[in-house]
Amino acid sequence: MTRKERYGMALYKAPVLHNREAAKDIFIIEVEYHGKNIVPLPGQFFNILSGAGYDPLLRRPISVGGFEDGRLTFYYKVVGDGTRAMSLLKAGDIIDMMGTLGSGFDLLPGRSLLIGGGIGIAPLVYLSGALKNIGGDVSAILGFAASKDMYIAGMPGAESVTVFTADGSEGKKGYPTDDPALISGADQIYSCGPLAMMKNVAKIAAEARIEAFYSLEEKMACGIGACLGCALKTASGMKMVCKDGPVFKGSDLLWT
Amino acid sequence: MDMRVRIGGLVLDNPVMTASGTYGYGDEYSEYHDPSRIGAVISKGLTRHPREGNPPPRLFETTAGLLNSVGLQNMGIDRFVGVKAVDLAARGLTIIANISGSYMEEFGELALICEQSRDIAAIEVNVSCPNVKKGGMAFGTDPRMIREITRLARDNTAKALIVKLSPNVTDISEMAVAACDGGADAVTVANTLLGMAIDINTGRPVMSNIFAGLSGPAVKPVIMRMVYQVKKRLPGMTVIASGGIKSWEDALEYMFAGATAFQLGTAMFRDPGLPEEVLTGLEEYMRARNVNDMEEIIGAAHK
Repeated sequence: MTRKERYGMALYKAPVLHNREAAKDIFIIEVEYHGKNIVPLPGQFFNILSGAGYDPLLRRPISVGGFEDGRLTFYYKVVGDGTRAMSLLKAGDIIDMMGTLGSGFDLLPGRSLLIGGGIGIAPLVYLSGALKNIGGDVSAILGFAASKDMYIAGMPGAESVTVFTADGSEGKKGYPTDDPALISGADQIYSCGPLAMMKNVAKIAAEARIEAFYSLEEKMACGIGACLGCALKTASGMKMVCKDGPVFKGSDLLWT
Repeated sequence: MDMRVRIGGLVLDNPVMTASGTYGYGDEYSEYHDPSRIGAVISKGLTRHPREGNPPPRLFETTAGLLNSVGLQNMGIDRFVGVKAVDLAARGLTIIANISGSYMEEFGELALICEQSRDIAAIEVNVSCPNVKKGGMAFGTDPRMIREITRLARDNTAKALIVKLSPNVTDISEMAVAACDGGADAVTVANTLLGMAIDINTGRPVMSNIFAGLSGPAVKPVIMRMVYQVKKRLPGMTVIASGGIKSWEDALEYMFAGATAFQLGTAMFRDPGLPEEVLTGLEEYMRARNVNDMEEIIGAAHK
């Protein structure tokens, strides 16, 4: 193995297969994945560089939304210069990827309930199929602002999907945690989305004594635990969202 | 080709270093390049006791730059010297310990701990952290304190002693003179520039500490000027450049300005293969220009 091969494994250029707007400001990008011997785990992410210039300077951490036949799917929301640059990529363009990074979801058997909101649903899409593959029963509660923000049609392998929209334009009106009855009966909960939503999930999960896992978001620079930028104070001390997470056990989180 | 450079009594294989606080404890980047090829790896800022650092948010990206307010989160010097450094040195890394005292005498105590470890090759004294309340930059903006802190460290170590200066002063060459008087073998020019950002949606400062340290390509011309100023004032002083290097060309520019070695930092977050790219680029430059010794380049802009 040459030096280049040995140290280049986690860093490579990936050709874009397609990149399209799936809902308002939310894009789906599919790229060819070279690191074929490393299967990304649900909840893991890649640190993606989409431009050649130095503004934006940093990579953007994006969770894996799907992986099949050497193709990686990411869902991302355009929120600033980095994701805007990404949204302009076309088929055949090359993106520079670091990964796989982070610590993903534990895949547990039994009845899993996925609770996601907005762009936070993305890692749960990949998780849903993976849980089904290990023989789990999966159901999902998803929240969107409005029907125009829905960027996925369903959850792979899920037996039931309940949709909430804040304005009532699709499914039930309200938020994913509005009906705690939907949550009881799960063996474990996996959640990703706005902080306010995850805090509500944590409250309900604690009352129902259901183990829960959360994928968190924080501004990152290196993505590998070197810069100590994405700190999170947990029950077991200061952790890095990029390396110790982004997935954390509910019992570790302080929700401050 | 000879890329070796000398920092005090320490000879490095090449002038590439990693800036404190950007390279974790030395092994985080090992999937992306071979850390043992780097001239020297500088540790995260180490304090007497472990520190939790500042609350988030700690990062904010600016145009070609990055504001950070990590606040010296670290495992404490005992664990670094006793466990981490032993492991890294065994893997062939040259380690420089970056030390940060919360009172002046503590710099001497920290230097002594490093002196007693055979795994630490040199010491970088941090008198310039902009993100801590006690010590830090307050030390690095007063030449008398720099001289005294350097002397306290010098009295406790025979290893190469580097003082990392703050750019947040009127005349950085005054600070370099103070470090020189205190017995420093080299100065690092410089720590991050004090900056800030305001969230226009809330009208409030973005960072919880209000001010934060700016790094990245945006700061390079400012630090270039400072490296040049220090070298002009103290031609015999060894200067280590740190400020926005993103390519071998940037590194070479700093060497022309007077740097004997240079530190890579923020640009590595974007390009984790940067140390090897810079090494290769410099090697090719030297071969193409028939440069046999780094001394031919260092400070050439002053001639």
